[in-house]
Amino acid sequence: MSYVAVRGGAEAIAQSNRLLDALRALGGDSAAIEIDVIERQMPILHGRVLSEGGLYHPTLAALALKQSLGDPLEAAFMLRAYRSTQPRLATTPTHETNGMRLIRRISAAFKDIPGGQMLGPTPDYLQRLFRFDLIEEEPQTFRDIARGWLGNLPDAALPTSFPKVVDALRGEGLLPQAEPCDGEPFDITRAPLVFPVPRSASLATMARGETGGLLALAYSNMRGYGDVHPTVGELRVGYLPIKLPHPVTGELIEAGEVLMTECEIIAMYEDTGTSDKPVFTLGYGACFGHNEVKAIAMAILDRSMQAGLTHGPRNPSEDPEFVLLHVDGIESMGFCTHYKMPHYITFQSDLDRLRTTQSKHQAREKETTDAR
Amino acid sequence: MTTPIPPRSLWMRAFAAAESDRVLALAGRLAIEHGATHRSAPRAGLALLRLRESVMLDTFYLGEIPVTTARVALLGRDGLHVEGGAVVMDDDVEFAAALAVLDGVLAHGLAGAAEARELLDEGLAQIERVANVRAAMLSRTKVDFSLMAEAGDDNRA
Repeated sequence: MSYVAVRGGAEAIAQSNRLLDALRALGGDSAAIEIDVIERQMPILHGRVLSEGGLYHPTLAALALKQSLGDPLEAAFMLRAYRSTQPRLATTPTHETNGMRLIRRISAAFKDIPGGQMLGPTPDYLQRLFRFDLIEEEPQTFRDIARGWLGNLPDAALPTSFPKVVDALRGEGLLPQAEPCDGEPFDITRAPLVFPVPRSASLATMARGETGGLLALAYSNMRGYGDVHPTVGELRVGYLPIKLPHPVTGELIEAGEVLMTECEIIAMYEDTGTSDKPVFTLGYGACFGHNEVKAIAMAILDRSMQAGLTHGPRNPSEDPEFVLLHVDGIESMGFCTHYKMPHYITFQSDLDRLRTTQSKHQAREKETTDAR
Repeated sequence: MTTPIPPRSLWMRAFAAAESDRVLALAGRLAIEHGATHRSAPRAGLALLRLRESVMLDTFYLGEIPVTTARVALLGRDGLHVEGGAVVMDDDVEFAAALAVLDGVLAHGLAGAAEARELLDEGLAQIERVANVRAAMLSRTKVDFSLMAEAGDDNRA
C-alpha cells in the first residue's frame, strides 16, 4: 500500500454539510427550535457560549447553539468568527459592578452580609432526581409555571443593588488596601500573549476561557497542587447596566445591560515578614452569563497566579503561561480536532522513517545473528 | 397631570424597552414629518466592555458588546436643524436611527413629542415590570438565618 497526497472530496463535504443540517429534522416531526426558546430555556448553556465567545450578543449566541446542534465550543467559535468581522466602534468607560442589578447574591464567609443573602435561581439545593413529568410537558402546564410564580408580585420596593462584602472587609483592615488603577488594559483580541503578561490580560483571557479548562486547573489547586484554600467572599449574578456616551450630548446613558456572574474569593493571609500588617489575599472572577463554576474557578486561578508571580510558580495553576495558554476553548478545540484532518503527507513521512528504522534494525539483527 | 419627563439619560433604555414595531412606526412617520437626515451614517459594530474588578481595583476587558450609534438632524420649529442621537446595545441600524429620531423629537419638543412621550412611558413601565420580577427573585429567596440551637428541628430557610 502506498500513501500519496490527494485532493478532492468537494461533493462529499457538500453532502456532509447537508446531512448535518438534515440531522436536525430527520427522524421526527417536531418543530424547529426557536432562538427565543434556546435563550430562555437553556440560559446556562446560552450564557456559557456568550462568555466563551467573548461577545455578549444573546440572539447570535442562541443562533450559534442552534446551528451547531448544541455544541457550546462550536457555538462559541461562531461568535468569535462573527466578532472578527465587525468593526470596533468604541471602548466603554470603566464600569464598576457595585451597580449590578442582582438576581442572586451569596457569601460563604459571613451569614450576615449588608443587605442579606438571596439565593435567586440556583440548582444548589436540588437533589438531582429526575422530574419525569418534564418529558411530556403540556403547553398549558408550562405556561402555568410562570403564571404561578409571577402571581402577587410585590412592588419593587426592595433594592437590587447592594454594597460589596469585600468593601466591608477592606474597611475593617482585613484586606489589602487598593488604589484604583486606570492604566490601559491589555486587549487580548488585538495582541498576542507574550509572557509575562499584565493581570488585565490574565483576567480577560480567563473571562472568555472555557469553563471545563478553567475548572480543571482550579481543581488541581483545590486538590493539593496549590494552596489557595478559598472562601467565597461574595458570589453575585445580575445585570450590569452598560453606559455609553450619547452621540449628541456626550452624557453617559444606559445603552443596554449584560447578565454576568462575579465572584470574589478570600484566600489565606500571608505574613510577609515585614512591618506590613498581615491581611487576607484575594482572587477575582467574572464572566458573561450565569456561570458560577467559571467565576469561582477563575477567581481561584487569579489568586494562584498572583501567588506564582510573587513566589515563582510551584505548580501548574500558579504558572500564568501554563494556565492562560491552555484555557481557551476555541484554541484547544481547534488543536484537538485538527488531528482528524488529513495528515497524509506527514504520516507518510512518519512511515518512511519507521520503515528506514525497521530496515536498519533488521540489518543490525542480521549482523548480530551472522556474528554468532 | 403628567409626571415630569425623566432625564434624557434614561430615554434610550426606555425607548428600547418599548414595543419595537411601534417605535419604528412612530419614528418613521416623524422622520418624514421633520425631514430627518443622518448627521452621520448609523454605524453598527462592537465595543470593548471595560470593567474594574473589585479586589485589586485593576481594570480589564470582560469581553465585547454589540453597539449601534445613530445621529440625525431634524427640522425644528424655527426652521433650524436640531439633533437627536442614539447609542444602543444592538446591531440594528434601522432601530438605532428610529431611536435617534424619537430622542430628537422629544428633546426639542417637536410635533409628535407627546406620542414619543407615550412610548417612553410605556418603556419605563416595562422596565418597572422587569425590575419587579427581579426584586421578587431576591425577596422570595432571601435567606432567613437562625441559630440551630434556636431553630430546633425546624430547618427554615
